[in-house]
Amino acid sequence: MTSDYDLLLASDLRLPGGTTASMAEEIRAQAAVGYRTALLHVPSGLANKGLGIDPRLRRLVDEGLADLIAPGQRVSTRLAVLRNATVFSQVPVGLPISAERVAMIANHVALDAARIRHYEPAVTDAAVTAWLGVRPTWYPIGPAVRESLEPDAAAIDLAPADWFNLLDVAEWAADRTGVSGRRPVIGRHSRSSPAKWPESAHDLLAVYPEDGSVQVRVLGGAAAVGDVLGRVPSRWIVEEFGAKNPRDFVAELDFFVYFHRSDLVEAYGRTIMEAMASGAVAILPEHFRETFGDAARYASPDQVQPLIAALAADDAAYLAQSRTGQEFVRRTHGHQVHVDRLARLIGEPSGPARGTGVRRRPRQRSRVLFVNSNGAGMGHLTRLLAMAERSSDAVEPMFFSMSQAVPVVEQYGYPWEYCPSRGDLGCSVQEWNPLFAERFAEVLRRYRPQAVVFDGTMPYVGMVQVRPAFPDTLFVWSRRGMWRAGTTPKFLARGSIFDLVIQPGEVAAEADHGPTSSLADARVVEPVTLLDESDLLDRDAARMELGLTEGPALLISLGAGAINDLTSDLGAFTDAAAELPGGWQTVVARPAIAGDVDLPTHVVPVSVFPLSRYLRAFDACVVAAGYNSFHEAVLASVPAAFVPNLETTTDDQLGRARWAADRGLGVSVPEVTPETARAALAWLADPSSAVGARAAADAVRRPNGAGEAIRIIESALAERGLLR
Amino acid sequence: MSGLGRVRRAVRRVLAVPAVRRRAAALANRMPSIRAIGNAVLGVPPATTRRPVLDIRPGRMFWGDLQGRRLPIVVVVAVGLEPGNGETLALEIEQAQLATGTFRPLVVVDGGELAPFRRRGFAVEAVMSQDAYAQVNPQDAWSEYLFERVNAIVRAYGATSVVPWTATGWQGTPRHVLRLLGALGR
Repeated sequence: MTSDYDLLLASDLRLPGGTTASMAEEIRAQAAVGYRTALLHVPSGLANKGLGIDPRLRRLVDEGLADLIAPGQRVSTRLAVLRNATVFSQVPVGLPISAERVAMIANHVALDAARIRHYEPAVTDAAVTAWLGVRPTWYPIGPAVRESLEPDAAAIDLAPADWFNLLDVAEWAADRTGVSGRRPVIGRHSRSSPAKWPESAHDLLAVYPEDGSVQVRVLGGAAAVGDVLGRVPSRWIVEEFGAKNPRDFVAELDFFVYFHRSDLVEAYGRTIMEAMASGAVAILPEHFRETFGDAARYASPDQVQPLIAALAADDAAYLAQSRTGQEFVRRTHGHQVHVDRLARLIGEPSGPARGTGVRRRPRQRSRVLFVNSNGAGMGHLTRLLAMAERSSDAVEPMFFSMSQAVPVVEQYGYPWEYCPSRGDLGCSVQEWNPLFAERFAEVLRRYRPQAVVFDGTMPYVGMVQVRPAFPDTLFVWSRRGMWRAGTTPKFLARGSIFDLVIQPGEVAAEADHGPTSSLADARVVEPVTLLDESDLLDRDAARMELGLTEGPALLISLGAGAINDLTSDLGAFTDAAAELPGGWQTVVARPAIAGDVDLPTHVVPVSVFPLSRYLRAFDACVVAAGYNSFHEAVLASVPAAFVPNLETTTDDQLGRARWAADRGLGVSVPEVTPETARAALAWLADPSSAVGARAAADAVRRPNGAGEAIRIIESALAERGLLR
Repeated sequence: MSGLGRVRRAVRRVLAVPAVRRRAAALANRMPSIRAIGNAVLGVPPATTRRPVLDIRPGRMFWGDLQGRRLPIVVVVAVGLEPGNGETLALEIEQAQLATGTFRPLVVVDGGELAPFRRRGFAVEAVMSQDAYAQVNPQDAWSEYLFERVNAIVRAYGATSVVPWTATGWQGTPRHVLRLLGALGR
């Protein structure tokens, strides 16, 4: 059986770089107007890294914009477009293709400046003719390749016009306002082979200075620079090939400056085109003028920095050059160029037009990545959620969490990523640190947040390691106070990676004697809770939603047991509750992340988030003395038995519980036994102590600081020009 | 014997001298490129087939903190789980693990059902769901994101196998087939 297509695109589909990018672009342009495309892999010895087809092509196959042809599958096509003459110098058997016309796209020179021959045009021509039974027409992708084919012009059918590669300006264009008033950012994107860099140290530093006068960014690695200079300048920001989406990279550049070894003949320079499409001004050696004309500016190495300084000081001139570059790309390499080319060669498309999806990163709002540790409960996550909920429309919150409870943010409409905590994996710190570093960097690269807001007491080693690679991202530490006295201050030293420290306030602040209490580096806000007082359901509504009957009700909420087993504590309190006189109902909160526990029959389990919304349903509660539970109990004025977790890393829950007991908000139960549980519940069930506890809570309650915290973060973003 | 074979044999002879071996190991530790060349010459298999690089807990069927710690890691990719299916899947994995005792599961989910796996002591990783990803990064393909994430997970944990779970589940699959999850182990 034979499948019919308008076009068949064939090459070694594993090759990275410009060849594949160009094919992907052509497939999109073809699908958008209804040309049906088959994609054929022709194996060659050129692919030496990665033996699967390039992800850009895989995506097109997944989206149904092209069909991947298997070896042996019979295909008939109106036009076969073959890319890379080296690949086709020897065509494997077993590719039964029938083509009416054949275009051989020569995308690199046959003989380079180092006198290395990459292919013999006549040999490839003969191989293709023998394979398809049709002699190919050769299309060079630019003047440099055409020049290299001229000596063989008699042996091949050389087309009069070049086959310019495609680039969609709409996908790449970045907003530009000029450079004046700030340090110019120059950069380049290429592989790190020695041929891609100037061979002289003088030229290299003249083009890419290390004195800090401009910010130099490199995507693709700079190992070859070390061979020339003996070092890679420490002020440069260097990322390896593939470490960042090129669209994001060039969008951050003011100038794309590409100088290479003098004997390299660049056939096309797709990365230059990409930069120009984004609006970055390209500054290149003189020999590129033939290819790019007035779309770029040309200079010798010593002229580069004066040229940059002149354009950086003149926004009008800079923006005019930027627009000229973009227009050049659109005019010579836009999708319509290709569609017109195909119409001339094979006529109209045979199929329906297909949408090719969104390809430009949306830039409507400033993305803020909320990052939290996995604590004893959900306090870290909940504080961040409180801030996210109060962010302005200019902010797009998303979460990256070590807590297994993170799916709760979905109910607020926020996307999330997850990294298992060391405790959840059961691995060592030494094993976990690299895992987190790699994951954190990957999340930052993928989602490009303008700010990271970390809530946790311990900035991870991986966070410290990754921070320098993201110098433009605002890093904020939401650092809860109330550390235990004597806690090691070594984690505080890691705070230097943050641009801003916010300290969520603490009702029990006067009992804070830990290492953060004497610091003045933080902006202290009011206590942060997810809900405001006005968000809480009243007693009747809360009871109705929870299905509680008349009579007093006790809530027991001891946390998730994430860092220690709370089963015996829970048992002591449920047993004590069963002995209470007066028809008390006992409700046990089961957080989403809690493990299985068998509950007695007289207990009603509830699993709701946020639990604080229902707190007014209860006449008394037994809660953990963590930041979250404590402040929620105060918020709802529920008399409480506070059970401090004594195994936390930093949180002084005992200090908080004692302070609450001293102030009459409830009782502190540092050691849970049947006797202490009975005594605590007896105190709570006493109407006179309950009245006093409610009054005490009312007296110490403060406004919610979540809104204030996020306003501070947004102001910092605005000051840096990062708030859209 | 091929040319490479002769080179390999000669290098091994040289490395048999302890002092040389120590120097070579020190050099390889400092310079990854030297290590890569050395591995290629000596025919050392790639990292993914060595012992796990991240030592995760094996699950609740094992005793103490050490048992099962050296078992190969099998990544079960369960994206598109319907509510409630997590419990079924976790049970099936645990049954296969109980029957064979030859693997540690690492479950990859794209939603909120982490609890059934965590309860059994299985490690869980998560990926963003297709719908959420389309909202956050519409310019990128979720299929590529999923591939890259699973690939990164395999590398990070030194996993030996990836088993995709489809939306139709493993329902109807005979237990002796499901047990093949553990066929990689000893």
